[in-house]
Parts: sequence; C-alpha cells; structure tokens
Amino acid sequence: MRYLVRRGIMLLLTLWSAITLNFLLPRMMPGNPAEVMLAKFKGKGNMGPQAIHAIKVMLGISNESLFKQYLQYWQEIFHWNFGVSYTYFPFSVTHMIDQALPWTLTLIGVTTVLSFVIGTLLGIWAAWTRGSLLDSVVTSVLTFTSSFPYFWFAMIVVFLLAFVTNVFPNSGGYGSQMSPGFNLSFIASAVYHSILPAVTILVSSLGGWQLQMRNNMISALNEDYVVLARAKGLPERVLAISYAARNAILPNMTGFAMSLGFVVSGAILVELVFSYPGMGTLLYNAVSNEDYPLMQGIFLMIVIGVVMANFVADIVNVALDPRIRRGGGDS
Amino acid sequence: MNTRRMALFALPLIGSLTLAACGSQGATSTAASGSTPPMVLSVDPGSPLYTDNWNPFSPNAVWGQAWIYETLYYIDAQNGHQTPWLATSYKWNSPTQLTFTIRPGVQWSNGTPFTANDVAFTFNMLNKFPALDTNGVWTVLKSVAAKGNTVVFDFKTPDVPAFTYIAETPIVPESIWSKVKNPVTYTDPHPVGTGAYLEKSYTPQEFVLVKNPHYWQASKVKVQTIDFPVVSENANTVWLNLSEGKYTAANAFAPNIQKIYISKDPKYRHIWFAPSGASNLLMNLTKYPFNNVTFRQAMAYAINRPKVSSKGEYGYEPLASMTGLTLPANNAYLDKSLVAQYNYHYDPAKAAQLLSSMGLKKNSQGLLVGPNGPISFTMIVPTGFSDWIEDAAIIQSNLKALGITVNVQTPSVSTWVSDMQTGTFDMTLNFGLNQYNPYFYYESDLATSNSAPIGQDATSNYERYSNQNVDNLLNEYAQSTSATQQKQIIDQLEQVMLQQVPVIPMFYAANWNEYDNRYYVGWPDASNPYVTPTYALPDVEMEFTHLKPR
Repeated sequence: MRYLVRRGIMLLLTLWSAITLNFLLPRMMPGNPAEVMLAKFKGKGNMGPQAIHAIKVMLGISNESLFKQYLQYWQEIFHWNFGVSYTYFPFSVTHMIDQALPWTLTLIGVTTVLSFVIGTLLGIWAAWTRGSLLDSVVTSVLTFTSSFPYFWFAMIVVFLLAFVTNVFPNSGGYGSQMSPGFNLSFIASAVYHSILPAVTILVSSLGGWQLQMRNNMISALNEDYVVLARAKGLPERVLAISYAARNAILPNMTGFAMSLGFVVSGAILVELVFSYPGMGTLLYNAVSNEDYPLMQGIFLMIVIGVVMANFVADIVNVALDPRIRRGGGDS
Repeated sequence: MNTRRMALFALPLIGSLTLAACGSQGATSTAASGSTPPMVLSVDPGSPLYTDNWNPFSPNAVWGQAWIYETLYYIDAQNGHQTPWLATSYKWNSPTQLTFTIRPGVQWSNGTPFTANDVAFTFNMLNKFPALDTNGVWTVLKSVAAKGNTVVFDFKTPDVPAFTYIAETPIVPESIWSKVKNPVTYTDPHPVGTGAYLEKSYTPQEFVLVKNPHYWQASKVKVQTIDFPVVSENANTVWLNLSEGKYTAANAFAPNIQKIYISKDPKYRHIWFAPSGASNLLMNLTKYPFNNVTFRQAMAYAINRPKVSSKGEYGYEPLASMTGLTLPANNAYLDKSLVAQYNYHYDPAKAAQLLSSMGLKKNSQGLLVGPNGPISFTMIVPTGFSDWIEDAAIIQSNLKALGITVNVQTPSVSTWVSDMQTGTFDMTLNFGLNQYNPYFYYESDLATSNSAPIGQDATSNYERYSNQNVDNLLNEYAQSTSATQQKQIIDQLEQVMLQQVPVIPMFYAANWNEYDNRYYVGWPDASNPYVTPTYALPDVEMEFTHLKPR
C-alpha cells in the first residue's frame, strides 16, 4: 500500500512538472507565433491596428504577465478548455482533438495490442525452440523487417498495393464520400482504409517485442528455479508459461504500458504517409503551423497518457511480481 | 504563402519508380463514352480533413466558398483589367467618394433578391467586427451607405487603389448575416451566396458543388458538378494521384512535373505556372554596407540571377525584371529604354569594379576589406524552403568569388518573419506582392509608412527603404484617377528601382497549376491568360464562366 501511495505522489509531481513545462516551452521559443498568425489572417491589403487587436483578442493572445497567464492556464485545464486552434479557427482545440482521437485510439491502439501479443508469443515460442530452424528463420526475418526505415517501407507498400495494383486506397481514414457514423458501410470502409497502415505498423514493430521477449525468456530458462522445476518433473508447458515466461514478461509489460501511453500521440509517420485523420497528423499540422494552443493540447494528452500508463504499469507489476508486494516497493 | 512549399516529404525514390511502372491509367478507362465525368479539383489541402467552415472572411474556410460568394468587380491580378460583376459600374465622384451601381436581377441562392443594402451591410459588418477586415478597407473608409440601386463609399483620405480591395470583398446576404451574433466565429455551414455554384454535399474528406440553376449568368456556366477531394498531407500521394490522372486540375508542387505528370498523357495533360509577383532579395538598408547605393548596384551585378531562377527554382520561376514589374502582364508599364540604360545582368567584373570604386580592396587572403574589416554578413532563409536554401547557396558562392563572406542560416518560419518585421537581419529572400498593377508592389516595398524603426514591427517595407520623393509619388498615385498620370508615376518608380536598387527582384513566384483537358476545355494558359488559376476568389468567378465540357 505504501508503495502505491508513493507512486501516486510521484504521479502528481510528474503531471505538475510536465504541465508547467508544457506551459513554458512555447513561450520560450524564438519567433513570435502571434505575428505568424497575423500574417496568415492578413489579406492582400494592410490590416488596420483595430483589426490586428481584434484578431489577437479572438485568438487569446495576451500581453499579461507570465504568472497571471500561468494561473489562467491551470484554470482552463481544469475546465478542459485549451483555447482556439490557430490553424483551424474558429474551431477549438478540444473540438479538433475530439475529432482525431478516436481514429488514433482505434488504429494505433489495436495495432499496439496486437503487435505486443503476437510479438510476445512468438518470442516465447522462439526461445522455447531456440536453435531450431524455425527460430532462426522467424527471428532473423523479424529483425530484418523491424529495421526498415518506416517511411520508406510504407511508401513502397503504398506504391505496390495502392498504386501499381490498386488493391487498397492510398490515403484517408474512410471513403471520401462517406459521413462518419455507426453504420455497416462506414465501418467496413474504415476497416478497409486501415488495413495498409495497420499492416505496416505490425511489420515494423513486431520484431522489437519478439526479440526482447526471446532474449528475456532465454536468460530466464537458465535460472536455477527453472532447472529445479524441470528436475521436479513438471510438464514442459507449465515450465515454459508459468515459470519462465511469467518472469521474462515483466520488462516487456513495462514497455507495453509505455507504448500504450504513447498511443494518444498517434504515429506521426504512419498517419502522414496515409493521410490518416488522427492525432499524429494533427500534431504534425500543429507543429508545422506553429499552432501553440493545439500543440499544448496534444502534448497535454500525451503527458497524461504516458504518466497514467506508467502508473498502471506499476500496479500491474505489483500484481505480477510478488517480490514488489513483499519488499515494500524498494525493488 | 504556405501553398507553395510541399517538398518537405519529397522522396526522390517515388519520382523514379512511377516512371518505370505506370503504363496505363486507372481513371481514364473508367469513364463511359458520351458522358462527361464530374470535374475533380485537387486544390484545397484541408489538412488532413476539412472543417465545415464556409465563412468567406475566415482564413481557414474551405476553398469551396469562393464558388459561392461573389465580388463587386472581378479584377485580373496580372494586369489589373476590370470586369463588372455584382456591380455594373462604378464612378469616382471625387478622390474621396466612390459609387458602385448594383446589378439588377441577381438572386441569392435562397431566392431573395440581391440589393445595394446587402453590399452596404457587408461593409458595415467589417467595420463593426474589425477582425473580419483583413484587407484593412476601413483604414481609409469613413462610411458606406446604400442609396437606391447604388452604394456610396466615403473615404477619410483619398485612396484610389483601395478600390481594388473594396471591389474584391465577398458580399454576403443581409437577411442571414444580420442574424449572426458573431460573424468572426461563425462557420456558415449552409452558405447562401450569389455565385455560380451551390453546396451539394459535405463530408470531412470531400465536398461537392453543383451549378446554381438561378445564377445570374447561368448560360455561361457549363461545368455541372465539381468534386473537391481533400488533398493528401503526403506530397508523394498527391504525385501518385496526379500521375494516375485522378484530378481534372490540381495546384500541386512537384520537382519534376514533366516526368511524373505530363509524360504520362502528353496529349491532354498540361501545366501553366502563371507568374505572380517578384520575390525579392532584401538587404537591411540601415546597415553598412547595404546603406551604400553603389554596393547594392554591385550586388545586382554580382549575383547570378538567371542561375538562381533556372537551378535554385527548377526553372519554374522565371527571372524577374529588375524594375520589379510582373512581366509579361505588366509590359504596358515597362519603360524599355530605362531598362536598357541600366542594363543589369550577371557581370562579376562590373561588380568588382563598382566595389573597388567604393574603396573596398581585397586583402592577402582574398577577402574584401571595408573600414571595419572584411565584409561579411548573414543571410537568413526559412527552414524547409528547400529552393530558397539552394538560391542562398548560389548567392553565397557568387559573393565569395568577390571576397564577400555570406553565412547562410535557416531559422524557423516564425523567426524569419519576426526578424524581417523587426529589421534584425542582414539579407534575406521574401515574397513580393503581386496584384493588379505595379503600384501595390511599390507601395508595399518602398513606402516609408510601411517601414518602422529597427526593433519595431514594419508592415511590409522590411528592408527599411525611405525616400521622400518616392512617398510623394505614391501619394500622388493614390489620389489620381487618371490612367496617364498613374503610368507616369510608375515610370518614375521604375527609375528608382533601377537607380537605387532598394531590393533586388529575383524571380517570379509561380502559381502551381496542372490541368487535364480530356473532358474539360477552356483553361487559362500562357497564350490565353484570361485569369490566374489560383482557385480562390475572385479568380474562380472568371475561370468557371469559361470552362466547358469538351
């Protein structure tokens, strides 16, 4: 219990410092985003001072002291209000994130879980049959695919499957004539559009999980308790799953929790290559347009996602690893 | 200014792969003979989805609103030719009073008649909500009032060129917009306009416009349906789609358009990258050595401008006239004898001679030395503008040959913009203003009123040029309604450009524009430049009364 309380305090401290950094960083950047924004709003003629003032007010660009802005910033966060996006004005940051988040959660969430489960199982299996022909083939193929530069690989896939053979669409989250909604044709179209991005993510990420699990498992198999269990005559399957894999999976679990936290940020390269309407594209647009309110909103989501995932990983570790429970959390 | 650079994710690989692999086209085979497929325009980037915003005053509105709202006059951005549109005529009663006569018989798409009151309402709304007034018409206007079928504009100060901004303001219906509480944040989800098209359907990835059957010049509009699929974030995907022939027209940048687009179907596929305003090399005129006219003239000879245009800009952006005039559209203004007299061209020997006439000499290391040591300065170009960075490298090597050291830096776009505004730079490249006639270019770049002391924001005269004579000429122009007098003033400003070299015009920025005339004809091109294909207001008004099915 003490362990969890301590972790909880750490969580709050991390959140506070991350949110404060999130507030400070854009304000420390060189250049003036307000001027860039005005340049964007400017027509062909020269705006009058009233117009410039009105636009600044409308975008929430303030000349208040930093401390006052900081207090306001906290107030807004508690109201889940991140201001208006510069790039998508008059739409708010919350509106843009609401639109993008479901796409990313579905595509990146599902592929992250799939990649972890398949990769880990393949790792266990490869370690169990280590040295066999299958192990060397699977492991070396996965090592090879996971070292592809993602952008290059995805473009090749688009080129072959969406251009030369035209089997899959080359971009978008769903058929362009459709309106998002819960009906069969829309869902079918969304799934169809997600196949290429999902496959490319899987191919490039499976190897990491598999390799790590295989290595952990192999070192676990050499531990004394496994030798003892084998000497006791336990069935091979119990030995592999309950003894070796249960201990070998601990580092992988932490990694998995971290990557679940990062799901919120989307996968920028994936989403850019496929023009997928998710958080990665949104973040890319926010950064390239110097849209600070939108960037801050997205970074906040990422911070919360990662910090929470870490916290959950700690709890899961307690459940999986009795040593942490008994040791009072010092391990 | 952000539509032109799409090469961030340019993979040279795809360009060459497409070459090898596509023999047959997907889209061309699907069309049944006899029926014309809808026009597909790949122009609105969405990024990555559209937001349902049709407010014609919003900088983030979908481009489709340009087909729905109209302006009082259509003015050709290249040469300033005027065509009456929602107004039938206009008259300057004095340099401070302008009257438009409104076209009779025009209807809003909801059936209510279009009147002078709508025009007056639109302008007064811009006054009430200054954030909408992005062209600053109310910096010179005093009042706008409807009188019968005319609208009278009273000015605070004489400003004849402001006609252009007034004439190009989209007009909205009073019956609808007067009920809108805050037109600044209004997204206008079901736009009602006077224009040639109506919104037929909208999804975040595509919107479709259909012809407005009650349009006031419906007989001229021949294109029935226009699809606007969202333009992919990934330039490579855009190039694949272009190469496949998925678009009737597009405004994409591609480094090798001949290979990836035209060569796939040379009979029908064409490009016309209409030249727009000259991009300028800016020098900070408050600093040594740029405050010396002879040094600036030497720069004009020292820099290989033809090479910058042909290599740095892939040859897409032609060499600009040293007068800054947009040619050939502004040929009528060009004083050829003046140009011949100054005869600027790439001539390092002449540049060296000018520099030595200033008393600058090379030292033993080959560096040109001034009173404060070797001459060296920094040139900034925004990061990601790969063509400009290449241009800067050419300039750097040209000047190195003369013993001048140039450090090229690539700050972020926002740093670049604010450095220019506050005047904290030595040398940079910047877009010039292109519109209607040379006055706007000269006014924005040379007027003292658009400058500011170093450290404060200048409006557009970033190099900080200031010349009482030029200011007087610009003022005279703004008060003149006589074309002959205006031309004389422009001639004198050309002389200032050539003699003083306040900026060095480098090349004309291009309007990327690819089109396929298999099904639709009547596109503007170099031999018939009746409009600049920008796919924005007011150019679409004109373009879509000319396009028709083959």
